[in-house]
Amino acid sequence: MPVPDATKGRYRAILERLDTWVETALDIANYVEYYVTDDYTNLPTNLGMMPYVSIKLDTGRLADETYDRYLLKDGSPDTQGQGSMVTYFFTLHVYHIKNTAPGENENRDVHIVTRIIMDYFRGRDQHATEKVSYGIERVYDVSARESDAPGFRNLKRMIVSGYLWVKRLDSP
Amino acid sequence: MSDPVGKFEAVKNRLNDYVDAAVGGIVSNNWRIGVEYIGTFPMSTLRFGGAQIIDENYGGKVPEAGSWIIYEFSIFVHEKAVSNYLDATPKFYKAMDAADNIIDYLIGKSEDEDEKTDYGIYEIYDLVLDGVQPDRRARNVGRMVITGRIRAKWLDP
Repeated sequence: MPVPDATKGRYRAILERLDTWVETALDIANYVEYYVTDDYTNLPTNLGMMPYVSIKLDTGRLADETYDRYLLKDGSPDTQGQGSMVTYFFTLHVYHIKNTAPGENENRDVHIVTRIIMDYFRGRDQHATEKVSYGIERVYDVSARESDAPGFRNLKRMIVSGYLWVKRLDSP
Repeated sequence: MSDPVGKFEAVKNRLNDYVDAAVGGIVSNNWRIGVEYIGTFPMSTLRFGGAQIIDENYGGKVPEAGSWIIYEFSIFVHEKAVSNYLDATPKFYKAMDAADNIIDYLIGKSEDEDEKTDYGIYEIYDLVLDGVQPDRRARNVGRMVITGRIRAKWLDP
């Protein structure tokens, strides 16, 4: 169902959309006991509930001078609206328990989860549904790196980061 | 005595009015206040960063003799968190919504003719919002930071 224009491109709407993307990616990959949260100040406490992904939507920069506040509402040239384009930076902290199979990479499982999420995010770039319903025009500069997870020896972490180019229409 | 139109206090007071109209609650110029001591939400704190007079106007004209002044401001918006243990709703959604409401209001006031004539405020731009949590003494409070610039006229005395 399309989101009303008054919420399109808003911080909360975009954060909820990122949450949905991660959950959908994990559902498609048949993960069952995962946990996705926007409470990025917390660390996982239940190692039985993996993978664990915390989402932080970071800085959003409004660039209204770029288009003089005139934007297309839904991709059709006949339906103009007023608003700005916003660049949102996001990070995902992806956790999984260490792979203990002998002779294999300890980070294997967290690598797999990260790849699944990144593949799904790449598929959202310039996706028609994201554009029309959520104003998300681009998903770009997505990168990932390994990072030490604090406090847990048997927990592995990767950090995914990237940018969203989003249409933010003015409130009616 | 209040500052004349476009000068520090006049613009800061107007910014205070904008936030009050957009989200209400406590709006304070004391940006050092600790959120852990506050019981009423939303609570917003306002701060002027740099203020720079621009003599070269890049084609923009001040109606009377004077210059433009660019105020950099920041607004910290605090709201209570909600439990989201099994819910897709963000834990700090109230702070997020409040911040977006303030941005909507600021956009509506930018290039408003009344603001130009009555308060000397010509443009509100370069708006940035960010989710920045307060320190760990206030884990149940969400905080969003809005920064931006105001272009106002600075008339010669």
